[in-house]
Amino acid sequence: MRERVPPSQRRRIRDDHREEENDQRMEFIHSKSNFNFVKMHLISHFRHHIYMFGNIPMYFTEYGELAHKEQIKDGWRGSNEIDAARQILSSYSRQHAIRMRILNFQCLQRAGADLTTEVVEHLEKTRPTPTPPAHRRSLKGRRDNIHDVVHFRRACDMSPQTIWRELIRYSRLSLPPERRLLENLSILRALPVELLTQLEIPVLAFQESGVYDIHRARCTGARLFCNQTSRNDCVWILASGENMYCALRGRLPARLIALFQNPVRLYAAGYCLSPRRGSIHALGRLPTTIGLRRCGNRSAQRHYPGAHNCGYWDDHRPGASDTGDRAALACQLSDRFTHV
Amino acid sequence: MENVTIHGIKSNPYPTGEVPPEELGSRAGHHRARDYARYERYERENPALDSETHDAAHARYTNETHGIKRGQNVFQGVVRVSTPDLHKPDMLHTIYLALFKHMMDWIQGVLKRRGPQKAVNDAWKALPPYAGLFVPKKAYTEVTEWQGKEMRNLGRCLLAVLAVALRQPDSTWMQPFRRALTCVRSLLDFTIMAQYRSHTPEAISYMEEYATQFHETKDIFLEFRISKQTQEKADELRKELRRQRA
Repeated sequence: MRERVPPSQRRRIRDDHREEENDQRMEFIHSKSNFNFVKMHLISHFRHHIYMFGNIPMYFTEYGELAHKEQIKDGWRGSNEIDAARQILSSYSRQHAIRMRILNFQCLQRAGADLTTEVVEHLEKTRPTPTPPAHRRSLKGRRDNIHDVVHFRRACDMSPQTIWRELIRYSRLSLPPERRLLENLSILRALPVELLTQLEIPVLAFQESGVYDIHRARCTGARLFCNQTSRNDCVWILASGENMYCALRGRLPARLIALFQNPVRLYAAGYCLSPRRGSIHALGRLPTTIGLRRCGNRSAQRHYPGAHNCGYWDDHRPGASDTGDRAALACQLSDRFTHV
Repeated sequence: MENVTIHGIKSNPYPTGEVPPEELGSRAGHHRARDYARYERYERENPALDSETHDAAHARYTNETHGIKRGQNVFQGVVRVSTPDLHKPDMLHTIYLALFKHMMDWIQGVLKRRGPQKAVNDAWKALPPYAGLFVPKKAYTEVTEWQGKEMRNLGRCLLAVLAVALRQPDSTWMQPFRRALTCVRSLLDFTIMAQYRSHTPEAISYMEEYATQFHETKDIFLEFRISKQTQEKADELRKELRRQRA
């Protein structure tokens, strides 16, 4: 008769077996697997190559693959798709030849050579490289029924005194003298105003010359946005001259509650909700937004109510917990975009 | 694949030198560069490679191990052209689309076995926008096709993502994770150094160090280089073991 083994022991034996199996399997896999593929070894040539031929990015094939679009695909699209190979070949070489010729002529012109009037005319009309389209900020989403400051304050639910005070303050602090507002209440009251909901700000992409990222600053007031809750972005505004607010250099973090435009092109405004009082604090031109993205930082939301859309960079250094430090940090970030 | 035609070799062997296939993964030292004149001589001396003579067998063996295709090569006989030197290191195909891709497979393997795959995906998706960085919209596993540009972006943020996701492993996985992170880091560092536009001897020595470190630590991923045959054999082995016990 077979000897009875208690369950605990049986389990132990089973576990031991399983472990042994796994160990053996791993050993087998380790002995059979290897890293022997060509590209693994190719990186060992980099050093020698740099010494012999210079840096490696020179030999990137990415450039060649990019050229495929201009040299082949565009040529194919331009062809009539019958006997396309010849057309593709001639299309790029023609473009290239024309560009070279224009460059030559321009060079001659600069050197003071005697060119015929036809050539000069042509040169003025054509440019060898297409200039990138100029990007401007554009205001969108105009709201109807708002024509002057009185309507405007009703739509935004603010006291007229605040608006006028801030308008005058802003025009004194940051507008050039010839464009300042006349500080006359009746003129201000009649000031034509358009209220808008969106400002598109083109920001030059990092290390690029013709590529822009479009940042959108939105304020919908109490209205819904895309059937969700209302959206009032957190932005940096230029509230006064560069000498104000020390490290912030005239900028303030603000929650955008209205975008408006008037004939003096005082065209964008934000209000800073001061951390302590929650009161309207400043009116300013919108320099840029910094990354519109959820930050999910509780303390930021406490300090700047509604800061959920602010690209707010929190650092976890122990000394940096007070608002001043953070604001300065965020300001450094926005400095990347000061050209806007 | 263009290389294969130019170099007159089969599709798997190493283009610039006579590195035997079993040494490709190691950080092997010097290998003889490919000498096409020698190959040609071989061929001339052994016109009947298909015959059964000893010499022919030897030549066949050499061709086999060195992965040479018989026949004419484009650059054959052209003066002052050294075919093996035509090969240039290419970041796109060597690193972004090859090594990074392999590495991601290995990492996925590690995470699948024992790891916070969800944490990695979450960290991946929560990357904040930054100038010049393409912010991924999908989790890594959801993307099916990778471009060179995307792989470069991945190289930029991968280490941070992994470091965040693997910051608190349980004690048994502490050591492997650390080693895996070292391996990933050295490859990424190597890539960054290789992108430099100008070098000093010191920078190059750093680059070499990173490559060495990568080769030293890569064994942590060895089990994820498993081929299908090995997998099958391992399964068979286990079955055999069980049968013996029963």
